[in-house]
Amino acid sequence: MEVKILSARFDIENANRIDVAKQHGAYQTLDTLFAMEPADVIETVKASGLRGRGGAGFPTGVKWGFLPKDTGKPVYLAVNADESEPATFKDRFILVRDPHALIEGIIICCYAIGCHDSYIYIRGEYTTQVKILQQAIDEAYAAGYLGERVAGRDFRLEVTVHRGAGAYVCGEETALLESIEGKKGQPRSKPPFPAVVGLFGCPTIINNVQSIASLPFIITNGADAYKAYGTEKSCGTHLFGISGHVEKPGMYELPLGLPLAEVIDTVAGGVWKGRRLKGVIPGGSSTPVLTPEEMATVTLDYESMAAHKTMFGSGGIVVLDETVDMVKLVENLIAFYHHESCGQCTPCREGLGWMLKIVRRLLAGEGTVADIELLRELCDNIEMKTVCVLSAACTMPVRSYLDKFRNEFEAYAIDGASEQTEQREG
Amino acid sequence: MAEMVKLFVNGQEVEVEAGKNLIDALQVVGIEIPHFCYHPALGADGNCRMCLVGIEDGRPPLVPACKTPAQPGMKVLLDAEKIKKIQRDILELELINHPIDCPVCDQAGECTLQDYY
Repeated sequence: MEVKILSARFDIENANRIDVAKQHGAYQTLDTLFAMEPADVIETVKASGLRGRGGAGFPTGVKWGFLPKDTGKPVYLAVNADESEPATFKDRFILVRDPHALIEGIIICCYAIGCHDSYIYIRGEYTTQVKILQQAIDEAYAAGYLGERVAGRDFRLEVTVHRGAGAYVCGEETALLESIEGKKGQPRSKPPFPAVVGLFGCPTIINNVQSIASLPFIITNGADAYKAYGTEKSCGTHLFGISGHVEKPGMYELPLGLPLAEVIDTVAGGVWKGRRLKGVIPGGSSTPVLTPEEMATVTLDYESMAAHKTMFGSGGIVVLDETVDMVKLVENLIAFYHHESCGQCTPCREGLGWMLKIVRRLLAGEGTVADIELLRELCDNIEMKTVCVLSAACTMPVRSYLDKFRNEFEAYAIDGASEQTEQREG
Repeated sequence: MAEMVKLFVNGQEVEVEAGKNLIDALQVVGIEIPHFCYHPALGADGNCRMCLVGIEDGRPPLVPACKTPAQPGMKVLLDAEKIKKIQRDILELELINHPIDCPVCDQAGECTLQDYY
């Protein structure tokens, strides 16, 4: 079931060092790359069906095509290594085990879009990871793969690592740009979109680490080789992070399109300790939860997830067993998003705070059934009326827990206690 | 003389200055869009979300008027119940952490929080 496309070099000792990485194929695409026209590189990436691996799943080649031509302004690339979506832990493997794949991917992307100055925005908490990444970049400069003449070609490319400082919201593409510019990480209104007005007012492409690291395979082996994995509309492979109540949590690279239930049982050893499955978060905390019934029919691709009214997201699968108190889970979620809100717009700043108060009231046994209705209504009032989608990242999952596990919220409202307490004492 | 364009507000046609943001453009013809964070001298922050108006057949269907330039043929929805509900909700959310000291507040009498209530 597992494959080794992105993770091909992960288990090789010291693959983060350039000499080892090169022994195992790093930087071999460059001859092929520079023999292509930049426009052909974009077409190849479009044809591969690669979709953004940060969570939104926007076709990568199409995004590159949005760059306006002949503006006279420099084009920038910002690689999103902020990896802050709860339950997501895939990009850190690339940064630590195979950073040269990322650097090679950056060269490919920048050649295609005509960018000579790129940034890697890495979350501030990745203190050890940034050292390994910077070391790899320094090695690449020393070997002539970055700098004034990339691999001896007439192509300049600089890569600058910019460290974040602990804000989830800086994973949002425009907040990320604001942060690189030295300003408060508050998202910008769109339009204008970053492809037109991005970093320093110039056309900018923002791509996730995994999206960029997927490029060397595509250029070396061609678009069709990438399309051979996955489904028709969800091509390729993904680094899935399975965590929660499973026997074997961990990072597993799999082709897209596999049945979620089968994946959890086969690679992750199934629900742990012989317990019953209660629910699964499919792709990071911002994705609506799936019940065991729904999980039986869902496959790990963008289309199936959308059809099940959730999202493929970042591949952060969290398995929840029967002991999970869904109301406490929702409190944890809302507390996170409320804390991470940048605070600039009213519905998110005030609304999430209100939602938190309500769920805490419920947990304290002081809530009513009307509070559950209010919590649900607030989800609708806040969503889609804000500058960015952080608020929706909170309201969409919360709504799903309210709808699918309403009995647990009512237990707190009516009895002032959790269902679990009732079951244990009853 | 500025270039004028015709657009629709609540189904009625008005003529406004092209490219001006909808708050300023419609104010000239006597249509008020409630707003908090916008000021002509300070620019449009676009984050209070009070000025959200509907654009029929628009993508997106809901836009902040302070950041939306007037374009010909635009169909702006302002009095629709959906928009008024949003305004009421935003006002409610703004008041959560507001001191509400109207009797002793300097702003009383010239305060849009009072006006919109």
